[in-house]
Amino acid sequence: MKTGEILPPVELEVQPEWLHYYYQAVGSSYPASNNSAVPATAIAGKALMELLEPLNLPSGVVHTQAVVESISPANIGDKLFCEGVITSVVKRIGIEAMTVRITVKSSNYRDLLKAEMTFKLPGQQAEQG
Amino acid sequence: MQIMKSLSEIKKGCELPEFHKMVSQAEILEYAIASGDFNRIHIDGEYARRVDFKGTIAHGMLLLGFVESMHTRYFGDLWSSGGSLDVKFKRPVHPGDIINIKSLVSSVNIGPNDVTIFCDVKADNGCDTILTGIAKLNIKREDSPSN
Repeated sequence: MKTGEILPPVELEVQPEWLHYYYQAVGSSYPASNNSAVPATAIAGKALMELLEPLNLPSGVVHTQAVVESISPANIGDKLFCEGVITSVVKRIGIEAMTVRITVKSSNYRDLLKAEMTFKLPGQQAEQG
Repeated sequence: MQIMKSLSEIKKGCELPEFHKMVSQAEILEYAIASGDFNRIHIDGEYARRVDFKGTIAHGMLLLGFVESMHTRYFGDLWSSGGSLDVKFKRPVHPGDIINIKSLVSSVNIGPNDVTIFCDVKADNGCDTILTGIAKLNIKREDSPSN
C-alpha cells in the first residue's frame, strides 16, 4: 500500500439487514423508516470496510482520526458507488499510519458523503480505538 | 424528533443536550455485523489483551455514530445534508465504560446564503478524554427552519 493508491471501487446497497444492526449498536433513537435519512457514519463505516477489504489489513489496526461530511442523504434501498484512495502512508520509528479518503455517490453519481479516516497499523504500542 | 426549533436559538456558548451511554460488548458486536469490521481487537478479548489493551475496544466509527446521533437528534434532517464531524480518538473505549459526549457551539457564521454552526465536541469516560473534535453544520437559507 502506498500514497496515491486507488482502491478498487465498490457498489453498496443500503440494506435494512445491516442497517438494523447499526441502529441496534448506536441506539434506538433513529427512526428507521424507508424514508428516513440513513446516518452518514453508518454508510461511511460500511463503505470503508468494503473498500479496504483488498488490502487485507491485519488485526490490531486502530482508528485514530475520522472526518465524515454529509452532503446529501441516502435512504434504505439505495444503491451507492464508493471510491477510495490512500492519501498518506507514514512510516517512522515505532509508528505506521495510513489515511484513506472515500467518496460515496448515489446511483446518478451525485456525491452523498465524503470521509477521511486515519489508522495506526499494528506493530507498535496501540492506544486508540 | 428534532430538538432545535429555530436557528435563532443557536448562539455561541449554547450547549447541546449531553449524550451519556454505557457501551456494551453486544453493541460492539452489532456494530461489527453492521459494518463488516470484525477486527479481533473488537471481538476477541484475549487477542486485545495481547496487543496492549485491557480487553476488547469499541470501534472508532461506533463512537462517531454516537456523536452523529447526538447532533442528528438536535438538528434533525438538516444534519443529513450539511453536517460534518472531524474527530480524533484519544483513548480506547472498553465494554462497561460510560461515555459522556458534550457539544458546545463555538461560533455561528451568518452568510448571505447560508449559516454555518461550529461546535466543539468532547467525550470522556468519566476520567479521561476519549475523543475531541469539531462538528459543523452548514444550512442553506432555503433549508433553514424559521429564523
